[in-house]
Amino acid sequence: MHRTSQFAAFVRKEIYHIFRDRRTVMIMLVMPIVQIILFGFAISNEVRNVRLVVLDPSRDATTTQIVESFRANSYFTLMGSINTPDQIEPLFRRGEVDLALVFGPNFHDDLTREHRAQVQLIADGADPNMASMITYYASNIIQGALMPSAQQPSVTPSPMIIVPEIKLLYNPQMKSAYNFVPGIMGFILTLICAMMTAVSIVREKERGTMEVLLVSPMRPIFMIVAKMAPYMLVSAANLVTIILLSVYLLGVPVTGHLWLMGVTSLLFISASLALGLLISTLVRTQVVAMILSGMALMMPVAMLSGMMFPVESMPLILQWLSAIIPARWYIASIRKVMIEGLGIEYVLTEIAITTGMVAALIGISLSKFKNRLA
Amino acid sequence: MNDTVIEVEGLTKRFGSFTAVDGIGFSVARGEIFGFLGANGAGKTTAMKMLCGISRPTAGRAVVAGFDVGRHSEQIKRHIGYMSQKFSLYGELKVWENIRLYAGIYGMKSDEIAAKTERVLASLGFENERNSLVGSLPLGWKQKLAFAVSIFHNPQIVFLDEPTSGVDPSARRRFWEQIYAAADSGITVFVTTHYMDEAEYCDRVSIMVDGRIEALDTPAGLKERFGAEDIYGVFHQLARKAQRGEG
Repeated sequence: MHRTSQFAAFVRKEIYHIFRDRRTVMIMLVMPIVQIILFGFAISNEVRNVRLVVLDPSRDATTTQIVESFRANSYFTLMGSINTPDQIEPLFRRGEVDLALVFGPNFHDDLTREHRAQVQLIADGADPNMASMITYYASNIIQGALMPSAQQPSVTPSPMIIVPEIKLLYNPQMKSAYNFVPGIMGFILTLICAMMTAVSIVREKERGTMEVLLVSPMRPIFMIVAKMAPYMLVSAANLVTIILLSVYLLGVPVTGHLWLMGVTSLLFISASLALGLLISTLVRTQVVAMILSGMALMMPVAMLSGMMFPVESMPLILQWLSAIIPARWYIASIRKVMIEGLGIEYVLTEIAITTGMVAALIGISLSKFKNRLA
Repeated sequence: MNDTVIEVEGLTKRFGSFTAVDGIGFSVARGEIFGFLGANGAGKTTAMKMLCGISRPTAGRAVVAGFDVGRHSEQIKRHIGYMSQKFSLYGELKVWENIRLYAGIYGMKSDEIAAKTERVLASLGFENERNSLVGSLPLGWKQKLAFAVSIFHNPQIVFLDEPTSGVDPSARRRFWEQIYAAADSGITVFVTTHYMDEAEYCDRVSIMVDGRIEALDTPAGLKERFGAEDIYGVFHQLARKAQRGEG
């Protein structure tokens, strides 16, 4: 049996299928472009569970008062104090804090004598909505903490001026594009890989061609791989489009390694294809496949993957739920690699989880496939 | 020279407590047109699936094209052709692309495919339709093409699962001419059908009721034994005894 020519014949057929359906091809290739352009509108969200770290060289009455009001605020969780500015960045890299509060030296003295004192708020700008929300909220708390003392009938003739200096890491200009580009990558790839694979396999079931293929000497695994191959190609094309658009149109640079983005993307594409395969084993008609991919994939990916709303500010149960969505891990790793420029050691968790998902999905699908034949 | 291409003994398929196929046995000779009749739910599809190597028998044995269905289903698949009741070619592909796809799946070489495509298109009178999308052809033509594709790799046996459903009588007659030509060239034809007049065209006919083969003979032999005018009469007498409902 000529396995390679058999495989080639099948891949060629799939490519004809995809590219003869011009409308679908247009949708698949144009959708990323449209989405990238449309998603400029930021989506607001709530600030919750902000993990705070404090660098306080002054340690005086005023700074203590400010820190206490953060401690008392239910939206902030005080993670601890640090002693040197060098400690800040590693904490952000490890994703252990959301906000760093840095006081200038002699804060209280500066404030009372010169009516100006310095405090710096540092947040992770890779997620700009979140960062601006956090820093805005934190500034208000600082102002509020100082109010009573300002109103005291003291000797201060003029109101004290505090100018917090805000510094956003990784995305200093706070462009929302930094946030939605990874999200769109996750969304588009899920849509194309999972939905298209599911629909194209189910189409064969619905039309009866699957029956003929099952009776043919073509092995199911070859058939599945041959079906997935062209979508892998289309997805790769989309990936290139999105990256080019984000770099040259939106000005979001690829800070990290391109190869690492490639590897994580390929892994995620495999997971999405496998998800499509699983859906195809569960349903009988194209319409149901479409609805199921739409309901079971699109909605969770849009809502729970961190694409629109940060996973960190979700209720715990939704955070758990989001953990089973491959796109969540992909979007997180693309944020780290593309935006923050981190190396492979920072996305190992994401890579491991996605690999596990691919293995599990393919395992389940193949056993379902075989069950049907038994 | 072994002239038996299908040999079945006590073939049984159970799904839980339900026995879909209940110990059937028969043999089919090379070049024979074997009609496989039965009401819906009688078990003919399940039996045919086992013979095609896509369903494992619960008990009994069947040898198809010299291979055991339980142990060598992959070899069986290479030596049989299959045409389903649903139209099974790809409408978005051209006529020659469909031929090339299936020939490729059955492992034929490109030059072999190219040469045979010409011959087949000529014999079907499809020379001008080579580049037509299959979806644009009339149903009768699609049916003819689907059959030609199912025997393109020159299988020993072709399984036809209600191949003529939905086709008008004159197209059905032309389709049967194609079947005769295939049988003459030595391909065994194993066919299920709903149309009792078509059963008359078969060399031998078996009638399944509730998972068992209740009758198996030439059409003339069956009519004589049951004292019926036609196969429909035979079928009606047998099907009345069925315990199972439709489906």
